[in-house]
Amino acid sequence: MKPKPFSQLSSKPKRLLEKKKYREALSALLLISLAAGLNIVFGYFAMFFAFYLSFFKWDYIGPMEFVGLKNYEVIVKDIIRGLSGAFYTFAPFYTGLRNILLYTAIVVPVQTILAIILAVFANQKIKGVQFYKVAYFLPAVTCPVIVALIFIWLFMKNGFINYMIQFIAPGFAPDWINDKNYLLYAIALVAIWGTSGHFMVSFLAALQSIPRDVYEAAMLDGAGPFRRFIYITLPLLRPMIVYVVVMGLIGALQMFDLAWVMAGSSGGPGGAGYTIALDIYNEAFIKLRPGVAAAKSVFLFFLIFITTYVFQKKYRVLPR
Amino acid sequence: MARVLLKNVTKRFGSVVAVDNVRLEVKDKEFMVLLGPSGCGKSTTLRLIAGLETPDEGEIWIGDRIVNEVDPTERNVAMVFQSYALYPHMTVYQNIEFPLKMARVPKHERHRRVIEVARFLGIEDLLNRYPRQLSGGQQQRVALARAIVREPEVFLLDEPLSNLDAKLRIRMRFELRKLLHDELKVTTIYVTHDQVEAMTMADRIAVMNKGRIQQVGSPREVFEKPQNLFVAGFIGVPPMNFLEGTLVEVEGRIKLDLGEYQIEVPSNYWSILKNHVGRTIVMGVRPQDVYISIKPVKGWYKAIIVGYEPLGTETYIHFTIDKKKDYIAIAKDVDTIRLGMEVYWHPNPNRLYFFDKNTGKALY
Amino acid sequence: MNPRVRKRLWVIATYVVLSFFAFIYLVPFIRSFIASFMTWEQASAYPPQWIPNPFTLINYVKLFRLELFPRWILNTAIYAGIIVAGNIVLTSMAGYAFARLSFPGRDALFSALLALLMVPAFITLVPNYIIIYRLGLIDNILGLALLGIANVSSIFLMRQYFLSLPQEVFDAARLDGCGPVKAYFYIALPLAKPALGAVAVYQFLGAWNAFLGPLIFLRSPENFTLPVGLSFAFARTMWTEYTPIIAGSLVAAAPTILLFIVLNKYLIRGIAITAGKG
Repeated sequence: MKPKPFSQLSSKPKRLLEKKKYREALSALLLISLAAGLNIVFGYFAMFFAFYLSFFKWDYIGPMEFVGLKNYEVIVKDIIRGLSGAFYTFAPFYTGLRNILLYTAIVVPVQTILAIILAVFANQKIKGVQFYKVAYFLPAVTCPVIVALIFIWLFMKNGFINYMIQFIAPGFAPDWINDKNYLLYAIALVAIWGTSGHFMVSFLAALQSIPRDVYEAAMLDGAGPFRRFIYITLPLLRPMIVYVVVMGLIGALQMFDLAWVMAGSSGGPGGAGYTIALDIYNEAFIKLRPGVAAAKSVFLFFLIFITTYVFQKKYRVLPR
Repeated sequence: MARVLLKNVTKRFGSVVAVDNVRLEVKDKEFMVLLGPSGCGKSTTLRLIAGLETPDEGEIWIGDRIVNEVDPTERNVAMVFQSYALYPHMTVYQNIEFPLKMARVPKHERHRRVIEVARFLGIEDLLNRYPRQLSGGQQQRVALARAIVREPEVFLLDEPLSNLDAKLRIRMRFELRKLLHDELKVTTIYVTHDQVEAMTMADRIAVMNKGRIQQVGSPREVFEKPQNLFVAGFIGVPPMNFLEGTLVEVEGRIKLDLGEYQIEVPSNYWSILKNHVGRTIVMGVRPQDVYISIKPVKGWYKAIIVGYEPLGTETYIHFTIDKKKDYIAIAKDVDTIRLGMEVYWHPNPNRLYFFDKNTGKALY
Repeated sequence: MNPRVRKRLWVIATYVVLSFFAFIYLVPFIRSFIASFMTWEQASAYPPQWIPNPFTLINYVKLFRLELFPRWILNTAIYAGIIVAGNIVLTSMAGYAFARLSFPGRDALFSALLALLMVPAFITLVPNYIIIYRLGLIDNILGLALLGIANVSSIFLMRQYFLSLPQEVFDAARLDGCGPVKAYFYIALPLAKPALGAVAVYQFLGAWNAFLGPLIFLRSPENFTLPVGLSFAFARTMWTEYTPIIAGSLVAAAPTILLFIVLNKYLIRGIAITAGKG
């Protein structure tokens, strides 16, 4: 067997390499094209189109008219009106913004802390614990619209929730849904009830990945259950806490379903249940101003992007 | 004819050269073991032969053709993986049948061959089971059956015994060799990091390190005539002792100057070492060839005991000359040994190795 | 304190806390279930009553007098069916390619897709409405489904699953004569049953419960899905009594609740795969 001359030698292996790679890349393209294509169109193209649209005046049918920053001016004027105390119907975006910030400030911390507490208790190795996990997770698999419908009934003036409350705080019986001072809190309570179970499961997964011997070592070092939680569990849960808070922020800031059902598309009494998401919907599909809706959704996008970015920047630990 | 030939094969992963200009010939029906520490490129070499990786440079020959451009399936090689890589969702029967099915062998022919192979390996009772229902040894047999059923010209095995427990490993070592070499008479390339496996199974061993072949030879050759420091240090348990020093000539006699004292080099090595006087040389001596005495003997050297490990039939004695580096000797009778004791040692004068410190090459 | 006593006390405390929360999470369901067999008069009584008296099915009867209610159930089932089928096929293929094949731009493309998880749905809403409108698929379940048949979290879940399979099995298949596409059908797909199951269940839940998409992309009442239909039909002003709404809610939620109760172990474990990707 004579070796081939070197000139052939260098080119040949490359060719197979290319043939193989070409074949593999072609197969891969075949397999991912639909999934990737759909997401690029409905995700990226749509996102960039929204930015583009936010500089145009349009009614879905006629020609698009470039208006520069006019659509953003609508938002700014709305906020200025709101800040100077205009009635809520004259400053819908401001109303939605104010509500959603308050709502988020309540929902995200409470649901995160509640989820951690539930997870820690449900992570005990005791009998029947699966039943409790099922109970806590059940609201999370139930449609938010249906949850909201049921809670409207429970939140009635003479409803079940006020009945339970009088055992703790006698005499406190607001008309949650119809009172503009309580509507947003009612929605927040429903949201917390509905999502904390979902995040509990995330924390359960994280808890189960903490090695047992770390706890045993801490026990030998003399740490009781409470100190073990503070010094071991919490720091090790930190990446998951960041994840849950970020997901919670994204969900809370664009809350729509619960407000739609519990407050109605106009935001209920005094606009107390109005949100940015509802406002975008109304701009786009009721007032038929897609340009303004796009500008408002760009605003929401940056609101979410900045809050989640700042939060991650501040609290994210180095990648594991 | 199914010899395997690697001509100057190089494989890089990014900036890492996994296989570096490897030349290796595996003769027809030969049992070749690629031996080396983890990360030495032996598995990559095997995967190159299988066609799972493509070489950056060089030629791979199987039989009388270059297979660089041949699809793995058409190379007539079969491979047994470390984890056996059985298909978990298929029964044993389906596992063995799968390569035939992919090759579009007619159904009745497939059936005949699966049964034949299963019978040959004594696993015909397991055909309807799933891999998870089998023991490690049984899974190993199924993996072998799946490889054999294709009637390959070359058999590639990647650490096939490392997932078995120690007892089974020793039995399978023997059986694998018998099966592949004596019964099937097929060219076999076997990758392992376990030198005992290599020594007991191989016709020839190719010792690899850092992507390069260090030495190719029969088990006896690599043990008795290591070509460089790496092979000398890698083969043999416990590893060879290396004493580093300057070669000096004193009154017509060649000695190795260790600093603490000079060791007399036996005269049978003089002719080899004459030209190296004045250079730094590493002298190697296997623990089996170090003699220890607790009483002074004329011409023996002083040492201090720093530890000992009784292993039942023999004891490893750790001693030091300069209180920095320690060396190992194997002794049978050690009742009087104590830590810190001053003893006297001497190498077997006929079983010494000398290496050039700079090149690592053995001097013969 | 004696450590055994202390341990016993700790267990009791744990049960108390667990049960307290279980009460909070379950009581709305229990309360609704009981009330759905009550007259509105009894269901709205204060203090609350717990035993239906008289026991009545009138709420369910009234519910099915809503002509479109069965239609909505059917629509939701069709929508969920398309979403589940689409995700199983498309995301298992994409997940496999991302995990086990190499091609130029693979990692960049995957990161780009993953980043979409952080993009709020509202920014894409109006443009997607326009795209679907231009395709002539407004008020059509197919148009709505098109937006969700290749969910990014499903792609992620499938990819993670395929990455967790041992490389050697795919190497073995390669030597046995499987090209990249054959290996998908013969090896990857049969091995992916657990992940496919998880994708199917999550996508079913998501589709069955979806609201915003159906609200915007479906226009005529006979094309509504359950959540949209119920949210309109049960606008409070239309009803003098609330018990049929409760009955309707329970009927609509029943498939997801039952599915969850049957598969709870599997589902709760499945979240562990998806969680923590951030």
